[in-house]
Amino acid sequence: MAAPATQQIKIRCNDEKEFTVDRDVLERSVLIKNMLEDVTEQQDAPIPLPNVSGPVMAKVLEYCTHHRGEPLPSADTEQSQDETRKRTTDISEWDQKFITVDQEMLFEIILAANYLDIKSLLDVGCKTVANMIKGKTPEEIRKLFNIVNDFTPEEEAQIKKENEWAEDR
Amino acid sequence: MSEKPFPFLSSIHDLPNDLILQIFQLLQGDILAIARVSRYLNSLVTSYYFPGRSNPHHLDSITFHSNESHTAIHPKCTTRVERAIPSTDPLAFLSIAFDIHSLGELAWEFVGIDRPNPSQSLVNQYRRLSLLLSRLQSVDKVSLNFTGRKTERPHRVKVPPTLDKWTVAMVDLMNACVGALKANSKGAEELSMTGGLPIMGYRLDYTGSGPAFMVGEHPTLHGPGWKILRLGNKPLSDADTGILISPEARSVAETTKKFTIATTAFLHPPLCEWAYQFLSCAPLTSLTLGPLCYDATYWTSMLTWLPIPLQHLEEFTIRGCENIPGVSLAKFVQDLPSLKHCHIDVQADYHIKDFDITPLSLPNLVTLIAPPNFLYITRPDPSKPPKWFRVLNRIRGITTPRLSTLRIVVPRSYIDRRTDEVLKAYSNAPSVVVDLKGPLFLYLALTLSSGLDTSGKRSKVPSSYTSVKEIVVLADVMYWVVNVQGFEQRFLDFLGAFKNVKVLRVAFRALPPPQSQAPDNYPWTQPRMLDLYKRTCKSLELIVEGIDGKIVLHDFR
Repeated sequence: MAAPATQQIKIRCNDEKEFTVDRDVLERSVLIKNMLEDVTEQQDAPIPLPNVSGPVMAKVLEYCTHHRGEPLPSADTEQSQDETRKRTTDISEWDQKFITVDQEMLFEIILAANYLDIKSLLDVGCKTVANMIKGKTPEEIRKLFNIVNDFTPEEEAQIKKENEWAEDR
Repeated sequence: MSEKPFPFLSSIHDLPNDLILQIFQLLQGDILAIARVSRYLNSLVTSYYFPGRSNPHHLDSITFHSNESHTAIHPKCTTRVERAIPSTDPLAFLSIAFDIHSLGELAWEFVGIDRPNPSQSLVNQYRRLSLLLSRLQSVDKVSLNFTGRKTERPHRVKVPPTLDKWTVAMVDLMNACVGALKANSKGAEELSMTGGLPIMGYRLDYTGSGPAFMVGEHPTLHGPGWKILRLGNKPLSDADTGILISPEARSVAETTKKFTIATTAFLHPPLCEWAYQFLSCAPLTSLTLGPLCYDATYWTSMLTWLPIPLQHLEEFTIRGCENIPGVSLAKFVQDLPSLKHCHIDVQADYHIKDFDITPLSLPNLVTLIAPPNFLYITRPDPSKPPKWFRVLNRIRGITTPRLSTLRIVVPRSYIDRRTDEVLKAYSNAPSVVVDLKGPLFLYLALTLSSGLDTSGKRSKVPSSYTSVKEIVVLADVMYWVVNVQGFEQRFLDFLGAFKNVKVLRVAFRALPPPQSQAPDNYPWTQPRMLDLYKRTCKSLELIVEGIDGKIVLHDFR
């Protein structure tokens, strides 16, 4: 028997933090949606989410609550949207404000969106990182993400020399 | 707050590879910068876009897509992997392919090269690709495909102001292609230039000095030292005049044996000069022209000039050049003393009427594949010998002592659109004159075998045809001829004349019999015909192909 739309679902994060959320909000996550569909009887036990921490889940729920009611991409439309998604790094105003977080949280949100299978949130996260990288030099990218340059000077010189011609001048 | 159960995510390095790559796919032109950030990212990018790097046997081709060009590289591997790389600058992307030693083929498609805006960009692209080629040491095949904008009124298309610049750059690129292959100590054994009608989709008029090439409607067509004038409009200014110096063509062509021209651009100045230069010094043994269905005059000028440097040409293929005059084609072929294989494709209906030349002398010809001209068969004129008979005489007149394969190919599309005409032409034809009004194949066969001429007299079989080992007939013939009086005997005579024929391939792939006739009742499957096949094909391999995929195969080997 189908559950009512206002049904409240409990979830438990890896830091034992628990949330009670409307089912339609949680169903933005394909993972949780499938889990709920697999459960034949109503259960009071919270759904364990061992890969997501409480603070990250709070952000994810903030996103899901804002976007509740929006149609989920179907399998058919996903493919056609894929190419469009790749071509653009545009992010809506609300999403931009929402995703303005520190790098650690940004990467955590991306991981959580991937784990929970929330495609739209994953897109927002990936586009945000892509926008951070866009137009930057290798050195600027290193600084941005705190990456150590492990090329030897000789290798770096060689790469630079080989790529000089490739710049579209 | 509890202790973090997972490692602190401080860097993009800490994300799983699939998520990093998902981000990179959004970055297009920035991929090159990312590959230079660290060894890890370099490895990630190159292993994703060039998976053959670590294990070449996993990669067969990679395709780059962008707005202006489309590139495919084909490492020498067995498994096919295609991945569209979202890069606005695929050339820059290719730079990370330097250490892919399995890269065997580079195919590059230039799209929209006649648009005004990207012309300068194309110049850069040509030059940068030239440089790239000099670095890709494992490449042993280069394909350049130029695709332009299609237009219904090609002569109205505006000439790009940077025409001379990009054509010079294109020549540099072509030279680089051959040069790159030479650098691999393999030599450029094959150079293909493909593309088509839309490329230089504008019409030019030419004046200048130098040896003139014969043309039809254009009174003057000179080279080298082309001056380009826009037809029907004011001439370009001196600054727009393109003069292409291409001595490089001579230096790069030394090892090229096979050459394909399938782009109109190489029939037009100034690129044709490069092509001429190249052809004049390359020791070519194989030449393919077409498909090109535009401006027969350029073909005319080219063909009459080409035999001089092509004395060693052994294979000649021409396809899809419907405007080429038959007389030019015939003259060209007869001036190729080394020609062994001649394939005149069926894509076009060559204008072979009214050409009157001396019989061709082709002492080394082994294979001749050519279309009959159905145009004349469908309009027989009882009052005088049909024009197509002259064509047959022309074929008969060829001195071909080594000819072992004679293939007459009738284009299906041609027959399809003339079905009614053909049916009408044959339906009332008296059987007594079937030799004259019957299908070309049969008439040709009987003519060759028994020497029938228009008066119906017989003569001896030309000795030159005793070398024929294979006869291939692709036509609509049997449906009508099997019911013609005396057919069986003539068919036997025909086969008997070709004493050394080992394979007779007959394809009934056009003009199907009436709808009401069930396949089992097709004349060529009737017992009478099967008996005939068996009698005549005791020592032959007879392959009968069917209609529209309904193949009726009788193999009496």
